[in-house]
Amino acid sequence: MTSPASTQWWAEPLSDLALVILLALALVAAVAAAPVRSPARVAGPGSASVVVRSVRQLGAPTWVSLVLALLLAVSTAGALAVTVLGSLGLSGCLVAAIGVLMAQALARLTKSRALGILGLVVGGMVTTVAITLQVAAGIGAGGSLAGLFQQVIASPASAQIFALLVVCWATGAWVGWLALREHEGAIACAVPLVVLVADLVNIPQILQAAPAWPVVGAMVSGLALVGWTHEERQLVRWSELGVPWSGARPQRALGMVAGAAVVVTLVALLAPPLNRTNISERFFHSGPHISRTSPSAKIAAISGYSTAVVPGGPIRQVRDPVLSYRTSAPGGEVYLRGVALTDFSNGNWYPAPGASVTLKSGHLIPFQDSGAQGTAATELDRKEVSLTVTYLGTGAQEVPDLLYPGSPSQTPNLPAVYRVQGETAGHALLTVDDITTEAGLANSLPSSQTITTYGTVSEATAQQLESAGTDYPSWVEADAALPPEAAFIDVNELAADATAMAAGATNPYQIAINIQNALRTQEIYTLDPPPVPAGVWPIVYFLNDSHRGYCQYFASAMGAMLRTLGIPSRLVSGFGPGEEGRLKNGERLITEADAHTWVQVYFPHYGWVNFEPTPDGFYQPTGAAAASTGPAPTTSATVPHPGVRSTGTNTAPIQPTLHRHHLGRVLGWVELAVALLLVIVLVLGALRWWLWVRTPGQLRRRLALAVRLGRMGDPRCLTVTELARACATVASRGNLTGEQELMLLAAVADRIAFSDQPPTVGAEALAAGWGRVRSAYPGMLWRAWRRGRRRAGPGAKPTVIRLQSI
Amino acid sequence: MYRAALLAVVAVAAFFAYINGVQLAFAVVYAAILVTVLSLAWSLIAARGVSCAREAPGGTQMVGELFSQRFQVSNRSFLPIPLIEMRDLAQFPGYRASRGLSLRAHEEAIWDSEVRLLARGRYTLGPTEIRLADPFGLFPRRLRFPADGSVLVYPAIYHMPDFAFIGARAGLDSDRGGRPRDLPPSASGIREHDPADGINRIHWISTARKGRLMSRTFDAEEGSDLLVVLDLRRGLHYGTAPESSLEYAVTLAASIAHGALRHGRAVALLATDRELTNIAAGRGDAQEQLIMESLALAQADGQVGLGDVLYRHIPAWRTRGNIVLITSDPSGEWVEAMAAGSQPGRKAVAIYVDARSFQSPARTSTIPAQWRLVLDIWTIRRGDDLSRLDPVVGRAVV
Repeated sequence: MTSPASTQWWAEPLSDLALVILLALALVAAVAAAPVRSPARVAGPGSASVVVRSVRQLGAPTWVSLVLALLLAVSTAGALAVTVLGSLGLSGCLVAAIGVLMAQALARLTKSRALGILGLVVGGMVTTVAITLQVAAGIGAGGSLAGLFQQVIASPASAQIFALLVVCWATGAWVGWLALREHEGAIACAVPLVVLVADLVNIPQILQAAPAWPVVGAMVSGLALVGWTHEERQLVRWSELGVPWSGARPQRALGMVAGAAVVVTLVALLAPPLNRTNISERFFHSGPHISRTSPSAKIAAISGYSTAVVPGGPIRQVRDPVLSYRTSAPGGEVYLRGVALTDFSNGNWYPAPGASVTLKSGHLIPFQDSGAQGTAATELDRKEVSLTVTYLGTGAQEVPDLLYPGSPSQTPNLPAVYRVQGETAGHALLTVDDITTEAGLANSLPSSQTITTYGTVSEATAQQLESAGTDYPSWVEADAALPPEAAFIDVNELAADATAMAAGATNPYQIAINIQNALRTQEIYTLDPPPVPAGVWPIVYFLNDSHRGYCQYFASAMGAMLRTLGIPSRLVSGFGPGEEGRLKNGERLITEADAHTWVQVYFPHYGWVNFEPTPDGFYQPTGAAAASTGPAPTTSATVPHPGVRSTGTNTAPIQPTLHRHHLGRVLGWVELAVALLLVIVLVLGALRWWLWVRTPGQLRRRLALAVRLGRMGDPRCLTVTELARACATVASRGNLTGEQELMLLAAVADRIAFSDQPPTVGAEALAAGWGRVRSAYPGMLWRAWRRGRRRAGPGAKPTVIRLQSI
Repeated sequence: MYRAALLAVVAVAAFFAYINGVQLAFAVVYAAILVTVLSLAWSLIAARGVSCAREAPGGTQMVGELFSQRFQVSNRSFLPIPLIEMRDLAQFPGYRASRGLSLRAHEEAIWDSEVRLLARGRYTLGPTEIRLADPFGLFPRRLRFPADGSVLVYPAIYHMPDFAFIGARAGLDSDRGGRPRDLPPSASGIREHDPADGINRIHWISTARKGRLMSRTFDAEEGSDLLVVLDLRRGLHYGTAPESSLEYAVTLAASIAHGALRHGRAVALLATDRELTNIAAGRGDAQEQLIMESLALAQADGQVGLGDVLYRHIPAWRTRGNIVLITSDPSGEWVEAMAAGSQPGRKAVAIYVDARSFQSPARTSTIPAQWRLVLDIWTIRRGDDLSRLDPVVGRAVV
């Protein structure tokens, strides 16, 4: 008998706390293994031995490489976190950091390259497998460790998580090993470069701006790492060869490298891209998700009835008459339901290949009437409505499915064998997806081309639906989730969008209403949506980037979002209420342009309820779906006259209201705030630098700057008085007062510097003296700079530094 | 190689960024390209602006002296160079004049480098190598500046007794050192006056005729010349400079010649090297320079037997003065020939540099007693202080 895995310590996956502890341990190991280089002593023949300062003694902070490597690895993992890792982002960053630290520790602990790499690989596998198991446990896999393994191996999502974590680990380990052990910064940056670019070109366009900060961080830290490892490699080499070092401390090199990295990054970010259009399909024909269509699906490039919802490119409206109808519904108008689409695949909706029941003419639809909750026969507050349809022209050929005014209930006068498709329990139906005739509708209609159908429309109130609960029957649970093989990234995006749109809702009804209203108010209806990039679900692109689409986009998005939240939903393809008053007999005319897709949400006891997320300016939510409707829909469609659908395209500027707390947008504000803060700090710092002189050192630095700019000598070799005298030549311009002030200031500084009193004594005098010179200081710098430029011309004498003899 | 791989990675990344039209991917690729171009340009410009110069005393130096050079590395470009490595590739033994630098724009570094000369020979002053790179180290460059001049390092010279009279019965002035003596008064020529010359050496007639002071030169006393024979046959010498039997032998030869010349003797040098160097007897600075240059470049590459050489030259030298042989040959084939050079009352001198003390595989270095009957034999071993040779005991005094 196997004991439960939860009772065995080895079966417990790593928790976040354990991961943090692991990170801390790796950090401690890395620090403990930090190199301690003793100064190399070079026997200088014939002269006193020369002590070659080690890298550390040179002032080169050995931790700089470690920090830069950590920044690079974590930034790269951060980009993955923002784009694909989602909630696992922190784990990815931690794994990358652990990779760097473990590489550092192994690099210091062992001189064997093979042993170090082996240790890295083993450590990486252990860490990533442990975290993957943790994630698997978190998403419901339970039982023994073996069960976890099986779940992970069987689940594509877990494999994807594992692969992403391995990428994070490999990035960190690669960067750490090559930068910290081999001092090869350029090679160390190759993998982050590949990971970043691969990440950026494969994520949806809306997310392409989201990892801006991680990418910027990776760029700056990567470039700095390249430069710094070069300096470090050189310093280590000199230390080993006994080459004495002279001149500036390595911080100067570090500053130069950091400055160059920032400048390069800024220029790279500001440079316009050579191409903004995705032309990858010309090179790679992998095809987007939308290329997968059901063989029987009819995808309209022109408006018309469709048995599948595959949001695609622009639609040209065709106004060919399809049918006319009369109905007993209030107002004489009703949605004409054709087929219910419950099969969601890669962002598209298809009819479910479910069981069907074939019925003879006149037979009633055999609903399950066992009284069990959730069957069509037990649904509450539904009203039966009749629909009499007269097909016009080739309408019967265009529409293969029988049209109903709601959930199909009966078709008494159909003179043909017909087939009902839907969820069944034995030979009885639980719900109906679509009804077709065996011989085809066009061949089954009476000569009048008229047929009457009956369906039920929910009359449940908002309060009833709010209290309907979530006790869904088992047969509808399949409609409450997206298929497990759905793309990880897109599903995450949809879930994030749904959560944001449904903010504040406490029950499925409110969620559905919130999402419906959010779509109606924040997205734009158009028949000419922008092309969808390859590799992206059209609805994800619609929600996150284009914010423009037609009914298929709106309905698909709402249905999918509801499913990510566990609410049963499906799409219905059919026709809208159509135009009123076009026919003299009072019937409403339906043309191809009235083809429509909307959403049905399932509520326990009340069945499927229509929702209308499409803000086309014509169709409005009715019944319970109309409750709490938000402001007037945003639409770019021009409406020539009431009741006529527009064919115009969107010409108005698109200003979609962003409805999600998208990280990219949040970062946009953070970016602005940080930039403003930086500017303020810089301005304040500059002001303080200009205004504040209270010590001789501060005075010396300001005068030295002018001397350096004017190339008037090496400031390091000049006293304050000499500096002041040199500055006077560019400050006074013949004005003796300025020169006197400077010399007086220098005298004060000297007095303070060489006084027995604390430096604070006399600070006021120095500040007062500087106050008299301060206004002339910018001009002094300017003239010094111009003089320096003249001196730096051809034939200029270089600054000479005399180094200690060796 | 790795640069090519990195460029390939960047190129592939650029391709994918282009076909996908992703701005951030472009930014990453731009940064990579930009830093590459920047580094290349930086490296090229900096390399063009860098120059290296050295100031070194020309002419001759002597082993043991400090040789001082002044280096100057200039950066005349407008770009700072964070790291420059200057390597002096001069082949002075134990010499390492590499230096790491960091130069700002229009800045130059000057420093002095001193080296104690450990071995004789001719050394080129350079070449000099400058290694620099851009701040990212992507395009390292190596600049080579050719050697500018050379320096000839003479062997070290120690104070030596006057070997012209070593082994002879006490001569009148054998113990007198220092400047050439004025006696005998048989003038042999006229030369420029040296302030050290006595007034009685001034040749007033020539002085009056030339308008400047001229001094007389005199023949040294008969039989006071010195022949230094240096055994430079291949395979005799052991050890590594400066602690090698060859260096000891050459140093002894140079010191003996120098000492004799300082005493006004005419000194000749005979070496058993490949060229069978034979410098005729002469006096003065020119002769010393000739001998020193020869000894500075002497190598143990001779193949002719020492006995043959001695038999060929010693008879002609027998009456002219003393002979000093410096050898490491323990075989004794040269003893008979040297004995032939001895004169009644004056033994030829042989300085035996014990090669065994320089890690020679020779089994014995004992000087047979019978050799000492015909020759005045000195023995020098590794570590002996050559400045403290005792003519009485025939070795260095510790």
